[in-house]
Amino acid sequence: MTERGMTDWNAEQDLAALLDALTAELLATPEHDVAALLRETGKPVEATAEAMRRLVAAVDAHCVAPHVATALAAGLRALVARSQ
Amino acid sequence: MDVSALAQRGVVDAAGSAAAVSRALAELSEIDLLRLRALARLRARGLPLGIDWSDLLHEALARALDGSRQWPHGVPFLVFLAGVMRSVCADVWRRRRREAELIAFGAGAEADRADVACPAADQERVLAACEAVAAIYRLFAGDLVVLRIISGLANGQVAGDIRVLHGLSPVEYHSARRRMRRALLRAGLVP
Repeated sequence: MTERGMTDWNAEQDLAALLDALTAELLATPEHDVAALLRETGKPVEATAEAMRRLVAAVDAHCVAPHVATALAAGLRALVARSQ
Repeated sequence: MDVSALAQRGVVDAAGSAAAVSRALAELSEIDLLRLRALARLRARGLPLGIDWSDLLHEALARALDGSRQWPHGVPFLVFLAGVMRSVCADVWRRRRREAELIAFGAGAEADRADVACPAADQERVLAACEAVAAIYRLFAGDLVVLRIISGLANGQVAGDIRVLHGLSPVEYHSARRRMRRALLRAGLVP
């Protein structure tokens, strides 16, 4: 996967570097390129954007759905359940 | 004086920042909303099971809107939100680790921790990172040039180094970057 031996592989480090680099790619893509690339994907762009607008508006109106802390607690319960 | 005027003077407080965030959110273009979704879906890779991209986005927006994370003057809005999501991810794992330690050792067993291998959260985080890295590579399966670029990025290399290492011409490199961006955006649109 990388030039290093697998025994030296630090997945967390690789993931962090990858996510930072790919985030920078997404942020650096000019708006007209994003529009063109989205058209090429053939996915339902308008409907997805509308759903995002509703989600953002809901948070802005303090209609926040599951807070991370809540989800985290649920995930942790699942982890404990799996370990039993 | 309105928020933008204050921002120009660098004196926006938490409330002012929150107001600016609220206004910027309302003004996001369709394209930027989709870019934001792709950013959240990307950053949520490697989070614990049970926490998805929308949880991450909710939390990041909530922090920006309540002023606990302030939007620095001069930083593009999506860059700011991407930074908040990154920070939320780190907090999620820190919290996960604390909770795992609490379960494993109890509240008053601070001194015993160094003697015991474990915290489950660390193992979970490594596993999640392995799966996330593999999933990212799968996004580009079959595209050897993009995979080489991805591998270089994972190793912390910059564009110039990657191009030289793999003998890519500027045209090949930029064409591959375009395919990479398209795959990322497509992944960001998947329901």
